Amino acid sequence: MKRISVGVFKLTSCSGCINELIYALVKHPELLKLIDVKYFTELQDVNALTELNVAIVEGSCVREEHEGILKKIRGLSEVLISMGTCATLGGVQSLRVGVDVSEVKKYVYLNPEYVDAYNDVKAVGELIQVDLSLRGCPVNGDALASIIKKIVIGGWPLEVYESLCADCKRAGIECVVVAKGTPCLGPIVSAGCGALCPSFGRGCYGCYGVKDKDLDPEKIFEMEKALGRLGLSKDDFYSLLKGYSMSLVKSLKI
Amino acid sequence: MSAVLTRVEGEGEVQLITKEGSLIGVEVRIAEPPRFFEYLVKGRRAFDVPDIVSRICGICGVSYILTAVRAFEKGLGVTPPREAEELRLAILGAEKVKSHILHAYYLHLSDFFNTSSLPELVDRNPLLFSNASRVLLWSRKAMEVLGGRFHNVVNIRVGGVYGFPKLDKVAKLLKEMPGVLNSFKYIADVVLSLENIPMDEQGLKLMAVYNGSTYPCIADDIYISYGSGGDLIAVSDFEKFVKCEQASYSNALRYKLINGSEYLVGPLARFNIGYRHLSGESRDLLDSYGWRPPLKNVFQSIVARVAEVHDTLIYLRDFLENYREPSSNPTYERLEPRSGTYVAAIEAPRGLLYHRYEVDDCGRVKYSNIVTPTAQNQASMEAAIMNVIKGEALSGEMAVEKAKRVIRAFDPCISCSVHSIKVEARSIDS
Repeated sequence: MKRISVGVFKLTSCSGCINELIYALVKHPELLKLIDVKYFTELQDVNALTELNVAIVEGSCVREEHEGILKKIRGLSEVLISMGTCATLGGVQSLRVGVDVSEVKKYVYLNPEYVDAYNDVKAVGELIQVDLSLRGCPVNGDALASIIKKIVIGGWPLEVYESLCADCKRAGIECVVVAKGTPCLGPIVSAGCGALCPSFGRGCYGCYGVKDKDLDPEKIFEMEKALGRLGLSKDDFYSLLKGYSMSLVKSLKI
Repeated sequence: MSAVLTRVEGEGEVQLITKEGSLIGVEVRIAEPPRFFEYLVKGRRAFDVPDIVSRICGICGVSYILTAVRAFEKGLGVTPPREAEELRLAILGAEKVKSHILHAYYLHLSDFFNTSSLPELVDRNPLLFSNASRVLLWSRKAMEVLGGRFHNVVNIRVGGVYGFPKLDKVAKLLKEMPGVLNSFKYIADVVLSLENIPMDEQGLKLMAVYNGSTYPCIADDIYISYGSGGDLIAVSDFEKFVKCEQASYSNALRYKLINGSEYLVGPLARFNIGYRHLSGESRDLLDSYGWRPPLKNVFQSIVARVAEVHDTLIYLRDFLENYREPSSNPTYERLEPRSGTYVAAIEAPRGLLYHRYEVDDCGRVKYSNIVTPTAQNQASMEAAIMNVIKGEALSGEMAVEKAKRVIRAFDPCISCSVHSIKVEARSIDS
């Protein structure tokens, strides 16, 4: 079988998804024989920006330079995957969006003029065509391994558009909203984590992002009101959406 | 001369500044884009902070969560229930195993075998790979069972934990422990027998949290070691004992002691300060290879990492053996944040991590200061490169490669550090 060439690139992020990818390679060492790693600075010293069968991008864009890098990677790649919530939806750094970045810089740095970042935080898909978007903060390493295997043999993963509630029901987890009145974003958030927070008795805070298919945006406002009655303020509700679903907040004009 | 840093967590560069062929300066350039975490938590409910700051680091999120949680609990005068605290320390321990194995094996060991990538190292020694994998994959399972997942765990909250794992899942982890310890001993054997670990003394000043009775982990005091003698200071005085310095040539914020000297945080600092609190089993293991404190060179940090992984596995074994699922969760669920200042420091895998939060009357954060291990080690990193390369003919690639190796020995976490440091490269002749 011909090995597929792969490049892994990092923009603005914590490397948590890259570490899930490393986990996938450790758990399934046979993958290392199926792929030819051309660019992956966390893993190897010799890296070449060259034509790729698959480019995997972690992180979101916070400055002009990133847009150039992304366009270059897109031009070199047959398939481009956005890996994780930052790349796919913007990520937690989006909490600053809406405030002039010069204010933000001044707040954190002594010499804000040296810090290069623009006002916006953009998901990869806001700038270039993305062939496959993987959500999760972090992305699920086992799902990642299965996807790489499918692509190696010429297949493609099935996309599922369920909400987190489906995971909860399948696992037989008691609904935290119904049983305890705990605010939970489950109904409007994409499945994929296995209903992790409810399995520990807490509400979902939405780190896989709000659903972008099979969800009437009106329901998001309904959800905000319902959770408001359980004590989650409107401000805190929209902060969770900004922190893990910023590109949808923009496109749905929430 | 400059080179992109590889096999580190995050994106950075090292720049060697030369004048007439000799090295006059070193700059570790953090290329990582800023994420402004201190701003991200501004206005957020204090108890929501742990889940946000967890995202600072893709490897050591538990340390960030627990530092914030500890700050709020301390400030509110709450001692977490014993069962919850033990579970949280076990999650922190599993993270330490994960972080040290990731660094020691997957990122760092190549330097001692002169290989340039993980796949190359795997080919060279498949048995080492399978043993390292076994330990890493077990640490993942432990984090999943105890904390929810490998990264951004969901089970730690102010006042305790959200839930306790089922006994059968814990028993499964325990059952695998003898095999994991055996695998780890294979790695330990390889690392502790390395004959090319530099031994020369670097005169390191060290810092770690310390309570005088246990190995540095979580404490109200900090020990600063000057080589001969040291000072014990309160965590609440930390900001008085260090200064945030800005070099004239760049906007690099780096931390030094108030007397101007750089200092080291991390496994080597903890090892030298807390060696006598390691378990007898861990000390015997080290002793059988001739390793004793003090470690004197940053390259020996890998020895301290091995010692810590062993000691942590022993801790986890004891925790799992004695684990009982409480009949009800003793967590304090009705806590509310009050206005005030909240401070804590704990030992993240890479070293002392300090958080300070100012909370307003509505229980929301109005100011925060987060001092990461890598920001504190920045000055030490540059000094260590000067120390290692000085006096040697700078033959291009070799010098850069050496500098990169020094930096890797520190296990820098660039994603963590970037929110507080930003370093620009400068060249005065090229």
